[in-house]
Amino acid sequence: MYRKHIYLTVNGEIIELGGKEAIAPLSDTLRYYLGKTGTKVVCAEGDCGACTVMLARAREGVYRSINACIYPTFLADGCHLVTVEGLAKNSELHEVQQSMMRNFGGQCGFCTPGFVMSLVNLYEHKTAPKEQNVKNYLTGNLCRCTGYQPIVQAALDINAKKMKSLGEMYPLKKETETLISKTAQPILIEIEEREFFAPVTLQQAVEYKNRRPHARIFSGATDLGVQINKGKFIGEQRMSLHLLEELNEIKVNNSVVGVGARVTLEKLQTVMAAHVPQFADFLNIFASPQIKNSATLVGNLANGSPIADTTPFLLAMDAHVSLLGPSGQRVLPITQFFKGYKSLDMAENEFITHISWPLVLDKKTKIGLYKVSQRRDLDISCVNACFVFRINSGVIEDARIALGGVAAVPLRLGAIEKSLLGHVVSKDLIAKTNTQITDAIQPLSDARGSADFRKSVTQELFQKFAMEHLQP
Amino acid sequence: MSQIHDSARGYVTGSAEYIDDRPFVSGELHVEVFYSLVAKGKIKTLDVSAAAKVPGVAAIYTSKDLRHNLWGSIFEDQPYLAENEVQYVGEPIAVIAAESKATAHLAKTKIIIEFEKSEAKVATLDIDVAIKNKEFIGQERAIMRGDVDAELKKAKHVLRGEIFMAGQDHFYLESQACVVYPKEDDQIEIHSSSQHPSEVQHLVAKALGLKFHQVVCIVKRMGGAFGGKESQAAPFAVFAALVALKLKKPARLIVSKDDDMIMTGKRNPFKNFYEVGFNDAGQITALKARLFSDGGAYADLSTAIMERAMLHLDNAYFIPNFSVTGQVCKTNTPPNTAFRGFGGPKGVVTIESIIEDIAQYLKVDAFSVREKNVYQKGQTTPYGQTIEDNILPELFQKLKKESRYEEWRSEISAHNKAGGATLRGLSATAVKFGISFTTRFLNQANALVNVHLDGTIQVSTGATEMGQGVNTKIAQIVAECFSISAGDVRVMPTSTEKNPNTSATAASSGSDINGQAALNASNAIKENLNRVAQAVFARPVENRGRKVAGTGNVAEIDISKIAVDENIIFENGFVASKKSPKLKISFQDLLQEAYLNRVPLTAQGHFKYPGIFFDKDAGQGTPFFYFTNGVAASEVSIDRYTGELKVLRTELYMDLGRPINEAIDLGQVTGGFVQGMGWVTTENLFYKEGRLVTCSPSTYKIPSVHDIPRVFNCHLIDNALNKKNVRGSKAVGEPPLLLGISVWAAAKNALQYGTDKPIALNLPATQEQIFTKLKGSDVAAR
Repeated sequence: MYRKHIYLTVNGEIIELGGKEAIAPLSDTLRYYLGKTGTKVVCAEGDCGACTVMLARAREGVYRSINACIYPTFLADGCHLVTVEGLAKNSELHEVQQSMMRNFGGQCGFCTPGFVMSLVNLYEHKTAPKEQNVKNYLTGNLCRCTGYQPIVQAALDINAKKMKSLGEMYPLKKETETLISKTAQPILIEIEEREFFAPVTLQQAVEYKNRRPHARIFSGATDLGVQINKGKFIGEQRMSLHLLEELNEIKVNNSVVGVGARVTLEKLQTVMAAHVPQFADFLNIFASPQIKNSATLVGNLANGSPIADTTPFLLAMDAHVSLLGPSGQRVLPITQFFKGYKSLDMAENEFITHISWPLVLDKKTKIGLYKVSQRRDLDISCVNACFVFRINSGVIEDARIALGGVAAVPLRLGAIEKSLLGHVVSKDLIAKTNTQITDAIQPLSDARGSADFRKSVTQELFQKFAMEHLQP
Repeated sequence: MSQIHDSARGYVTGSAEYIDDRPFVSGELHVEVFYSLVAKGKIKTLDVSAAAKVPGVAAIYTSKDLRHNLWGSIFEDQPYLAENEVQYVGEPIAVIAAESKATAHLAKTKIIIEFEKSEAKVATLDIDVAIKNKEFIGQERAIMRGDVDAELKKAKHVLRGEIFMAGQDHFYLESQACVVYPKEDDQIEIHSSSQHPSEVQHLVAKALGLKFHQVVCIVKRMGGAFGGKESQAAPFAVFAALVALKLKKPARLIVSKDDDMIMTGKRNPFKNFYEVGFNDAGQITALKARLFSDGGAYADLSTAIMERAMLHLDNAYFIPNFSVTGQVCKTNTPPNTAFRGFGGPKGVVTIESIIEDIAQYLKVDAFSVREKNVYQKGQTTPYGQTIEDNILPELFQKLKKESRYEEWRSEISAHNKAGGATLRGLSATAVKFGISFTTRFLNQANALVNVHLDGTIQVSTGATEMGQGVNTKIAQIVAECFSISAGDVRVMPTSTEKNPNTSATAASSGSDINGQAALNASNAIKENLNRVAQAVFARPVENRGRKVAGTGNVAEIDISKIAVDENIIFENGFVASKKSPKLKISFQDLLQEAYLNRVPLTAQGHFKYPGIFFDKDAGQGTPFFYFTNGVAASEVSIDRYTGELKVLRTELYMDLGRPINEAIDLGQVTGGFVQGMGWVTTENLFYKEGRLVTCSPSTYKIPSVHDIPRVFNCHLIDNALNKKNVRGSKAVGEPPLLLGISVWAAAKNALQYGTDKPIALNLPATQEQIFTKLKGSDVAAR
């Protein structure tokens, strides 16, 4: 009943992979097994984009960019993959390639295939790109030679009329059917002591996790993929959620948002744009398209980091976490979920299936989301914050203060919030609150910022929010 | 439109081959380097026996396996593999050869190393400590002019200060890499991602006990280098070559980004102290400075880098009384090395910072202070070189006029006065970059030009392609010489077999010296073809062309008896005589004639920059062939709450003579500027006990596409003055990086708003430093 292989198409051709190639990083499989060395690896941690490839779930047919270096090959099971080698058909170059050539978009050339793929991603999703849009789509690609200007120029010089979408280039009707039928079956691959499992029902997932409590769960793998590449031992057993269709859903029902474990940040950003635009805007600088196309909201939380960028928002929204285990479902408020540094209230045989929170739709509610990092875009935060205040005729009716990077766990400052209720916003009140916030946090010093800096910048963030939204 | 980069198609299709793209050869081994995790220590035990027993490990080598274990581009002071002690985190100790990467990694974890206790604590990790304890590398150097001490006493105003500039990682995208193939009779063929194949050849031969003629080093291209592969590619080649030679198997060494950043040297950090005298008008009358650089644990290129820092302390400004000393310090960090600018930026930041401070002190715009001090024609530098073809004043005026500098400044003042959420700053800085290696003998190049009978040409030079477009420029130079299409000229991989005894592709000189050498070789062939053409044209029409040439019906052409005729011209694939329209032959047919008449169609060319010398002991001479100049004004915005910095606008003007390839040069300008901007803003090297913590892009932040100036205008000005250099062009590689300094100066300008004292700002101006300055000063933030 289990299959031992994964199936995908690479530049239009069906490929069957088993054994260690199925488990290796996709970039290694492409470069060293399939001989497609156009996909480059630089950082091996999803930060530079040299390894960018385009991937579409066969049943959806929408191509999106991902970082092949941290993407386990098995996550491409049931997908159509296009690499830089697949862009030129019959030696006729893709319009993106031609524009990059004529605009001197490549100097040393090592980042170029990645940029080409990210520009293909841009044109797969936008027909008339503006400069800011171009930059947003290139957030996840680093170039050390050009100063980016020639690449942005190349993006704007692309003749959209000459463009062929990847779907047009690779219709793949028959292949799609094959992939859908092949992927109806769960996967079990064993290599010596290592084991890889991909269930097709939640029941199978629960049973496996109960039998193999140490199995690591793969959904977007943007963190596990990095750990593996950096030589960290993550255990022998791996379970992938990629075949669990029900976890792919994001629902908004009766003003409650429910986000499944497979929902990517990209999908979340799209849905949130209509409901909480501030959060959607925040997600925009949160990470690169490549990361957002694979990373999930659940993964960001499950990682347990005190600096995860979505956590202050989830804390402020009073989100709930749904866990599934052998004894069924367990739902708990997010504030209870964090127990200590990287320690979560989650049994070994449980896994997160959903996160949900009530929408704050009131126009009088002000939301401020902030992150402080060395570089604005695609950088791990030094401090992050979410402030939610409802003010009625100058009086505070609701106050929520959530902070990350200032203690071992992300914090919700309940006592300070309570003390604010019923008060009129004033400069004095804000100054007093700032002092209280400073007293409530104990940041550490590290490469991303000193404790002193974290302490005083947190104050400034609240000050900034107050000036922007509370108008004392 | 400019000729496109000769690898452009390969880049966009992914078919351009880098080291790790080479197909694996049967039996090929993966090489890993085991390096020190402590900054200083005497080795008590080094036990590789458990690692050697890991299945799939072919061999593990330590220092005793090398025939010669010392190297250094200037002083031979650095072991390839640590012997009794380690001097920095990242210092190579052992070389592992294994059947797979995973096996090599596993073996790495099984090597046991122990250090004598207490040793690790005495590491010097800070330049201040090294200065205090006088832990130095090489001798102190000095450049002097006038009586500085007397003039400082006389000066109306004197400012004293110090400035620290941190290092910078090269962050070339292709990390250090090489693959070595063993050949018969102990010959080896090295493919290295190196800027200096000749040095790789020499060092590998010496380390392994081979003769130079047993070693060939080939460089097809590099995925970026920026100076980081000038000296420091060599040790990796030695390690892979050791494996290949000993085991007679191909050996591949691909360093991961993390290991590369931990093991290799950076741009040297500098700590500079100064005292400057000036008058009410802001005119500098005397400058006394002491420069200290952090060389790391070994000399590498640091003494030469210091020299260039001292030679660029004047930058674009005439300083009548001048005294600078420079001393390289030794610390327990990786040996620092060449990085685009090669010390120049550290001199330039210092003087530009001084000028900002003078302006702040005198309460005038720094632009006017720069105008007061900028070099005028015929003035000499403190080291005695006369400034010829001076375009600096013109560049400042052009910038002022075209960017409407004064209106720009008023807008910024109005913005700051209004007191919103952001504070703005504006500054214009300059660059006068000396072109040449300051070591005279390095300023030479050779080239090989092979003309083939179908009219296509292969050129080989010592220049290495790292993305800067040197190959494209050389192809254009040669194509133009013969008046054929650039597509018919191919620049071949750099190889010590074709071009021996070459210099590193460095000092911005790659296109200058190699281009001219290729042109010299081409001209030698062209002169022969000129003679052949005259002889052919002298024959009756029916005796021209490939059918009759050399058949014996006509006498062989003897070119030794023919003088070059200026009337013979090469034009669009034909060779003709201006004397008559009938005298015309296709380039290809003429080549056939030349071949059949036994005239050589291959030539080697050599070139050296003439008239340069520098007496290092006296600190005097004419070290530079010419200068590349530019100015840039940048406007930044600082968030008054968080200290976040944005670059809003940059207006940049450069004189690049008559560019051989304008688009390629512009790419160097934008790229260099942004790289410089990264150095002065976000790129923060954070160490813990001598170990680099920010060793990958998740923590080490080079500029992203969002960080470039929102408005970014780069202008190349028309200048036909420069006749010295090949085709009237100017070197472009390093100079624009120094204009990125304008961003830092603008941040300093913003922070000084509303205060009356100069605000010291170290490099990089990280958000944390800006935030601290904002909060710590009486800046009118709110």
